[in-house]
Amino acid sequence: MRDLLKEVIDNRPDGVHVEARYHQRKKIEVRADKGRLQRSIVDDFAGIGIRVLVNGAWGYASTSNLEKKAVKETLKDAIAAAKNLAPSMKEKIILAPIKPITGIFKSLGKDPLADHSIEERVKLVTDTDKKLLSADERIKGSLIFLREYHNHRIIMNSDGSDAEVFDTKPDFYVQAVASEAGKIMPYMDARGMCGGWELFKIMPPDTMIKKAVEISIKLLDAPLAQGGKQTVVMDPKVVGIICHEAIGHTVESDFVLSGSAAKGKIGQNVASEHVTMVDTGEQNYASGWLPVDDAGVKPQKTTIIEKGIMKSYLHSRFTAHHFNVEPTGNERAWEYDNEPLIRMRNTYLEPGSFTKEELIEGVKHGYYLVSPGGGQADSSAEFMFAIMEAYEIKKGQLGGLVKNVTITGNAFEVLQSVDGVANDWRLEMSTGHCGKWQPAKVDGGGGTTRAIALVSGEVGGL
Amino acid sequence: MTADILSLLDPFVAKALKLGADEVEFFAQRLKNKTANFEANNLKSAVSTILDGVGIRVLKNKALGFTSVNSLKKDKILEGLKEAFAIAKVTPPEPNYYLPSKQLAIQVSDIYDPAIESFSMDDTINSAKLLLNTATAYDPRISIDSGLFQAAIIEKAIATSTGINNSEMKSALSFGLFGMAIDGDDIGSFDYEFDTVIKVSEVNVEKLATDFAVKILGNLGSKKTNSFEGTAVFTPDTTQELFSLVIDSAKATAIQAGASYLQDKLGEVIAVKDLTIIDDGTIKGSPGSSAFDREGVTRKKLNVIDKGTFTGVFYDTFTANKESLASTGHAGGSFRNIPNIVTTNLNFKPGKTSIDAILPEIKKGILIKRISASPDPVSGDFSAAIKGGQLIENGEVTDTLKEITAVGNVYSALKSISHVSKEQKPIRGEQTWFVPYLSVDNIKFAS
Repeated sequence: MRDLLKEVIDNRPDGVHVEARYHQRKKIEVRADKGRLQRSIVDDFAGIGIRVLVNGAWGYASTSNLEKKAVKETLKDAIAAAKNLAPSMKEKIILAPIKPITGIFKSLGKDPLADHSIEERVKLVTDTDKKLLSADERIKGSLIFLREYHNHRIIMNSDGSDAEVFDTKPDFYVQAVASEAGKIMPYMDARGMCGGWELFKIMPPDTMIKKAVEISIKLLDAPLAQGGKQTVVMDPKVVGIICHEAIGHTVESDFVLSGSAAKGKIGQNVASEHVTMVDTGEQNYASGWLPVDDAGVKPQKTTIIEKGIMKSYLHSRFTAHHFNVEPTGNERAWEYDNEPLIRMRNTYLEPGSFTKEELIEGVKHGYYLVSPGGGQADSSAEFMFAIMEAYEIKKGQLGGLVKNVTITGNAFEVLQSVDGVANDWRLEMSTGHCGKWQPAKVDGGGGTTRAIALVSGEVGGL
Repeated sequence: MTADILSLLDPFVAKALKLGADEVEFFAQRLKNKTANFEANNLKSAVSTILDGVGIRVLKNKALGFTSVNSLKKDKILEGLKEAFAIAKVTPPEPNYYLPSKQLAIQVSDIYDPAIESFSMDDTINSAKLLLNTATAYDPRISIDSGLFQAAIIEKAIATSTGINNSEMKSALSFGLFGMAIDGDDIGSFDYEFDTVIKVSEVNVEKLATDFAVKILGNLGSKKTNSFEGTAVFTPDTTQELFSLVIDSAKATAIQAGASYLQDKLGEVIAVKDLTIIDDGTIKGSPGSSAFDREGVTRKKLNVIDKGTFTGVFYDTFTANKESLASTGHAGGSFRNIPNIVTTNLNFKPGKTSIDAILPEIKKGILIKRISASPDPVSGDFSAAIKGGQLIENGEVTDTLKEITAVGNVYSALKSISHVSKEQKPIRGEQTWFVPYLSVDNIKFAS
């Protein structure tokens, strides 16, 4: 495979920048719903994607045919596409220079997934499902889902980058649906990582069952939260989603060029002094691990906000040239037939000096937000996230579970209100995908963080 | 072309049976796309894609194995077949696992336009330019974050050991914009507009660009308002968002998993009498149409909600087998996964009143153009941030609002619908919706 890519690079026409990328992704999914094995599948998706820059325009083509002739044709198609586009470009694409990256990078975990059989996976999922359904008579529904990505990538470019990456990324989901007296409440616990089968030691399925069952049952009788501006103490999982969705997307420099809320804010105070936000691909156990990006750039540890001051956007080589900075290594492609886009990696708040308990103790009335659900952020940095697990805080003490909580606000205003970050730093947002035309595996987190946000709860409605 | 793929698959059916399969299905796709992408108000890239693949379902002793390979090469398909066998050997049997029997073949007209074959990369780029330029020329405050124009030929073929042997070609021209309006420090809420058509002659990028521009300009100058109780008017786009949850709950997978509000509600009144929704996968010339579904079952009509009564559950073959029913022809998905249940063309029966007559009747409310919500799929409870909402006072649409939310329950809202408009917007794609405006009374909005 390496020879095929090398031939593409070596035989490029003069004046053409080429990035050639092989990506094999083997996806394994095993899922059980309420006592029935719903799927047990293997999806093998492999091919070569070629991106070329000709006369200031990108052309991209891909093929799953890994014969020399087909790959040559793919290069020709990419060049033809770029040539067609070039006369129409308002701003020609120019790339910032890079130092080439070479090497072989692996993150397969302590107990590689390849050492485990499909049979083991089926047993894990069906056993978990059986245990969950028999845990309590109020549990009427279930969903147990194991998904693994096995990636092998080779990335070369005409600037001399030549890197090979092997990684595996398992996710495990355990959902219980409790039902009683006409009320139905689901709760899902999920965990993922970049690594291997040790995921199930770090987070044993029995622990996930216990949590999903307990919370779904408690939610049946949980009250709504009090709506309005509230002090919120956010677990690292919730901090991660704020960093990613509400701030992270606004600093992706393609979005900055379109006029996001972060435009023109470099050097400005955008958050309280407790806030230092980072995006990096360096943690090899996290889902956003990235030793080399899909354009062949070595990823930087990028400090987006340092003690409240905005320091950097996230860049491709093109936007780095546009803003006259160094590329940050944020160009990522989901599969071989996707062209790279600016995406986040592991995005988090650096730890502070408080303890979680100190942050909770200082709250007269507020909410401790543990587990995020879905949500969305806007170009203006306004966001809305559902919180699947939240507890009331009264006079510095944790109270009972509340249901149907969402938090909304302007992300920069919320960050300005941060008055403490705890020292319990961790990344814990690894399941699922970020969506931006194509998916990406990312992670996020931080230390437990205290701020003020608008909580939706008992305000009436539909 | 599709006949070539079918002739490739046929010998593999015989081979699988010889290897010991009880039943087998080969589902192949070939996608040919030409795409022009833009980003940050500029064209970004031209992309040429050919994607082939086969999904293989093997049943052995009622146990299912599935693999997919992104190749139409014989050695790859054989490799995939052997791996599917290996999976079937270690999965538990399920008595309801059997494939659909031979189907009555139908033709759905006008889902392929031969003109797509001569639609070049230059045509694709020129269409993208026209889309981008029309939107940005409409008003200098328009900012396009991203978008695309894509011309696609989609071929599919299916061969099973149960006698299904069918193929189809479709064309699709898809185009869309994502962005916001910016006026100095005022950054409007983002929004998007997308469309898909079958025929080259149906492409109207100027209309889409203009609709998009008007929509996002309306998001500028947003103001806060006080909490109040009033009427919510959902545009077709937000009606679709509201009803996605209802439609998902009507799928047999959710019902059989005990994860649906509509469990045990077939035949019950769940909405006002003015609400009728029919899914029809055979509508002429619609991107949501095709002659057969992902497992070869003939597409047909399904009355989902009839005058407020829940009348139809969406089934694929396995979920239908479980209840000794026939599949409704709603299996969907690509060659890369086992079939899942999808809708085709969801058609809301239009009401009798025009939106222009509905709005003047409203004393106080909000015209909701986009909602950001993650409703709970089972209970229907949600808390929605309203984006680009416009205040309605004494029948007049006035200020654009910000930082306003509504908390409630989707299923309760179905019984509080006061109007269904006679206008419909087609929201077209592989799953197409024909959607009206809806008004719902007595909503509490919190600011």
